[in-house]
Amino acid sequence: MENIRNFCIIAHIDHGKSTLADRLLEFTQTVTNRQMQAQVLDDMDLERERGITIKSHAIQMNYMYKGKPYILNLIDTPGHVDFSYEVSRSIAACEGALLIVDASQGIEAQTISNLYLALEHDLEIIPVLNKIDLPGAMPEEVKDQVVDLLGCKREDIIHASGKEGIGIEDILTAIIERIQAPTGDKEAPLQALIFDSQFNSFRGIEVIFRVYNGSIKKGDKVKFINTGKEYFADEIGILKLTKEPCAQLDAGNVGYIISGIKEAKEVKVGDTITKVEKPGEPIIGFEDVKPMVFAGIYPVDTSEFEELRTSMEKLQLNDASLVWEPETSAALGFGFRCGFLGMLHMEIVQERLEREFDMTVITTVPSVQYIATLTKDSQTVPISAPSDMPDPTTIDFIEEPFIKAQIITKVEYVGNIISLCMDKRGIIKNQSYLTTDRVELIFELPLAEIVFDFFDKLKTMSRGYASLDYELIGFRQSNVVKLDIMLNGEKVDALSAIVHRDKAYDWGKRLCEKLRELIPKQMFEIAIQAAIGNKIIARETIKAMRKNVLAKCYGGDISRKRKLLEKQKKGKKRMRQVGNVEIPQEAFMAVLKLDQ
Amino acid sequence: MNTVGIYIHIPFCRHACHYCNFHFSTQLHNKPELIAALGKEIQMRSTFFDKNTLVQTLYFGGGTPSLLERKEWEYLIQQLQTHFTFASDVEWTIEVNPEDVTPVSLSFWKSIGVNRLSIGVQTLHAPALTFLNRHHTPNQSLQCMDWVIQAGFTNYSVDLIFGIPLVTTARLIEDIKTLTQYRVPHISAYALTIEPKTYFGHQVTKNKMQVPEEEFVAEQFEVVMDCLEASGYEQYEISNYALNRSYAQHNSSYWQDIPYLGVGPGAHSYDGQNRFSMIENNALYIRAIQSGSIPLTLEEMKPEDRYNDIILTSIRTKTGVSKSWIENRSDKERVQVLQSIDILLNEGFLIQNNDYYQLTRKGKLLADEITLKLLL
Repeated sequence: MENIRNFCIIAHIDHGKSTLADRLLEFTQTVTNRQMQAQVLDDMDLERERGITIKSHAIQMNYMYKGKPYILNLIDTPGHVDFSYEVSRSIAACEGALLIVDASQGIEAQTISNLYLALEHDLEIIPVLNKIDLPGAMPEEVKDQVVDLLGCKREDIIHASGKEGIGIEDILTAIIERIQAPTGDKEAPLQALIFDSQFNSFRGIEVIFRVYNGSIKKGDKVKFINTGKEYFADEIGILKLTKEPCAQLDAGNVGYIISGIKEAKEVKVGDTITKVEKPGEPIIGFEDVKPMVFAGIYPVDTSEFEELRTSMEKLQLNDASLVWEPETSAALGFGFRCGFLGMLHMEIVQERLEREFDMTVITTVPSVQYIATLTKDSQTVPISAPSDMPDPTTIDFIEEPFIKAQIITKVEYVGNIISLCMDKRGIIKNQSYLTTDRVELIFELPLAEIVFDFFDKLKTMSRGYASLDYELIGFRQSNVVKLDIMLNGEKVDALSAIVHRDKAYDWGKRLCEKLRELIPKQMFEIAIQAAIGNKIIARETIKAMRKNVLAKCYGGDISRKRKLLEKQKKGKKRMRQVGNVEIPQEAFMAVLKLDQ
Repeated sequence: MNTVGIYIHIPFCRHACHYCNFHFSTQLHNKPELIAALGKEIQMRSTFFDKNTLVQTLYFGGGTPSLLERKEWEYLIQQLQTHFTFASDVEWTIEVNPEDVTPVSLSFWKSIGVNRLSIGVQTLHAPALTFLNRHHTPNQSLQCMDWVIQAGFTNYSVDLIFGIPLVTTARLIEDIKTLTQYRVPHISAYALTIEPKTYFGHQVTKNKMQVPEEEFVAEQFEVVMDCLEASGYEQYEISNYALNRSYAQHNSSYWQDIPYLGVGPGAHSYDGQNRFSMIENNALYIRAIQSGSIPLTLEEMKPEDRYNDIILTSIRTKTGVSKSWIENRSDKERVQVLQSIDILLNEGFLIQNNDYYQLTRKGKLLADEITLKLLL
């Protein structure tokens, strides 16, 4: 155990985490140059394009140091607030962390918040100043920041360049010298923490874990404590560039288990693996990750509903946090009500459906889950879609989810951020200086208010220097109403939303204006109305189309005209008809673009 | 005896009009080879129609047919007469630019049998002609019409473009008045359309030009319909107006499902079943024809394509679309089409006249939108 080191990397998106990780893998000959795709760790296309790691991975390196062999387990972590629980579990599987800071950029806010998470778990932090070779590097200033934040010694900070391969050996030395070897009792009952899983279409779910106590052998009968399910360890092994099976994994090490699990929902990050015979205690800190944001997903072409169902089922195999059930909309037909961890998660699901399954989908207005308490016998009803809203006359009160938001930013942006949070019905709870120019703000905010564009606005007004972390703190009574949109008097269920009464007018007005832009002129005039109950609160009009005739008939080229018209006709087929109005798919997403 | 049409495409122009997306070249150096190839193609495609077909209409379009020289005309006519049989009352039209028309050219055309001219007047407003990159003046147009009449052409047509940004509606009304005072037998009036791969198309992409406003174009379309109707013209097709039933027979065949042979690069043919298009490149066309092959692309027509073609052409005509013909089809979309028709009738976009659905005045402005609802 004393020759194992488990560590993760904390870094801002573009501070060079992936390149530096690549160099470590190369230096320890875990991968050869030929195997080296750029940024090996991010192997989903989507991850590479977004420059963030969506799902965490782990990889094992072997390294000889002072004549002794060491096992170094690098545990990769996702970097977005939607996945903060996964980050916390990955961190819990490590004893140390590399804190990578771009020598020309300095420390970013999100880095600080993950760093705090690592410090909470007593991780040994090794600060690394990356991109030291760049002409814009300001190593001394950035070192000041690091010392301020960590209270470490200046000489503890390693100079590196992933691109040039500078400092790689120093980093490996520091990992071995400074990070504690894992502790644990090989003879104790098995306790292994699940911190990730991957879907393999041939072999089922591969569960990735860190052994705290005891050991696991191939063929063991194991139990996942929180789900209560039992499996045979068909295969266990370590994670190199490919999976390498082995006979046994002992306390302190990181590995994978394959046991014929077919669905990702049986595997919960944070769960504890133990043995059926001689079971151990669960590792503390398990939380069942619950969806925070709900939205409908519908096929653009109504005939593709079954295809969408199959795609969603496949997607769920390796995305346990995605939940859904069938839903019907008058405007959109058959589709699914889906629960997501957050807005990024929603976007990712939508993009994966499009890229991996070639499905074009319409996503409806995202909503959080409200709870209505009815007057009659105080019964409570969950509302995760506007259509779930009971008749207002039967409702005693409605509660909405509130979060505690931690925002770390620079002093100069504090004013703007406070106004933003106030505008979003936030209550400021605390403001404290982390360093001379870095401030931590704590707010209580309705979750619904940060669902849409909060994160983008925060980033814009802080020029990218603001982090956001949040946790649910409970439900609070709130004056929310259902806002409907009508086109020529017909309600479009897919455009309804639940909003706070104080914001309903503004919301209705802006949504009507946006729809006027997005719905093309048609043969009839179109009235767009926003209403609360029977009360109209906003109206816009789209004038009837005046002229659409290509006077020319292109000589004898009838085909050309036919093809032109057929193309338009195809475009129309992708629209949805409500009453006599044809609605393009973009219009259903209008809510997300109210500020553009 | 089947009657058919022949179209000959003359793919040369001295200047490129800024709106035109028909196939043409301003490089005239290979004109002799091209004319030779046209003659050869006429021979090669002499079996395009069944035996016992009579050519009822012959149309020389372009490009600019008025660029052809005497011996070129004579060669092409000789080829046509060798390989096809023409009706005694054939309608023979050639497209001409006003600046190419002289009493001499007119008497020559008349002598070889041309009996209808289509004159590219476009507008009588000088700055607008410059804007369109036309190289004639309004006076040349008027002079041309005088000479045409003097030469004894009783059947001719004038092309008119409306919706040109420089031409106010008042100005347009003046132009139409001038034309109707001439008692021009036939007028084709088109809205200025911005097509990709034209000068205007590029200007619009580069944001150097605006697409004409919908309201402006709609208003001018209404003015054209009103003025011409008031002067006794019959709008027998959405863009075509005739005095005393002087319909364009050749163009009418396009929307009457009559077969036609198109000769020359970029020309289209229809044999009653399928459509064909010729390569749109002069050099490649010449090379292929010289080597004995015909660079044609066949477009096989599925039953729904044939249906759609009939709908999109006939809905534009005064006669309209046959109700029973739609009802007798077995396509599953037929039900939806009939439902749409009901709405269009109720909303006053269509009227029913015996067995025919016809566009109303309001419907004409939205003809394409309505067509979409009738397509399969």
